[in-house]
Amino acid sequence: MGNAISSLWKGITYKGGPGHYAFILHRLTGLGVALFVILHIVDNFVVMFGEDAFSEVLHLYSNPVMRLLEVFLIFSVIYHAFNGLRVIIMDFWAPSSHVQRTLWWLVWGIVLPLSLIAAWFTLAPVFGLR
Amino acid sequence: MEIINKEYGLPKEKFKGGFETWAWFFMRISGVVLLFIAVIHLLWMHIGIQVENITYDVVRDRWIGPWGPFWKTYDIALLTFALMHGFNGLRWITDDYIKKPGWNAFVKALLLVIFLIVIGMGAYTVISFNG
Repeated sequence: MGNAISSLWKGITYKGGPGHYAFILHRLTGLGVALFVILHIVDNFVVMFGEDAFSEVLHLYSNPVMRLLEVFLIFSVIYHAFNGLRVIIMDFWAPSSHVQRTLWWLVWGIVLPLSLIAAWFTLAPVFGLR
Repeated sequence: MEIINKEYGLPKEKFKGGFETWAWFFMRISGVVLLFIAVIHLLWMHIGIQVENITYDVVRDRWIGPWGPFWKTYDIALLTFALMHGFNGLRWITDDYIKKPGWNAFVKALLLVIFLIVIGMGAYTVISFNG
């Protein structure tokens, strides 16, 4: 256990700049999305038990805390997708390592607007704005 | 840029294969596939339909309606790619942080069991749902 914590701590405190933050966030968002996918398969499985049971499960997702988590989920999927694309570009096209900072900002240029639009659609009903 | 291209050509070594190399390669391939099918699924469900409008009938229309075969195929592809990509990621995380051989093997065996259960549950739901 101490071993796992010390290797995790080394992974966090390593001063690697943007590439390192990208890596940490890629892991966290990947872990979050994987946990949600497991939950999502279980919630969807309930559809086999009929309409009433499924409605009850869906109702759990409607409370404000879950709506906020939904925003994190959307951000996580979009970040993981576009940062993953950045990783693939850098893996297969070596000269891109010279524009890695530009690629990193380009990822945010796509991820942030898309996440904010999705956040609006998700949270507006919670605050009675739409 | 000329200097750069001379300095950083693609590696000359031959592609040797092996499980871990294929796993690495699969993460890139499935990543690109998921960039389309997972992101479209997400944006469609959360911005297109919106979560508060999802009901039993929406699911029935999706899987049993005229586009049923298309969506069932789409969802099986999404399920398979997402779970294989996700659980291979969890396996890599396990290898990075859990170094004790016994615990490492235990966690990976547990991941495999959970993977088999959820892919079974997911495939069963998508395939056998008939309204």
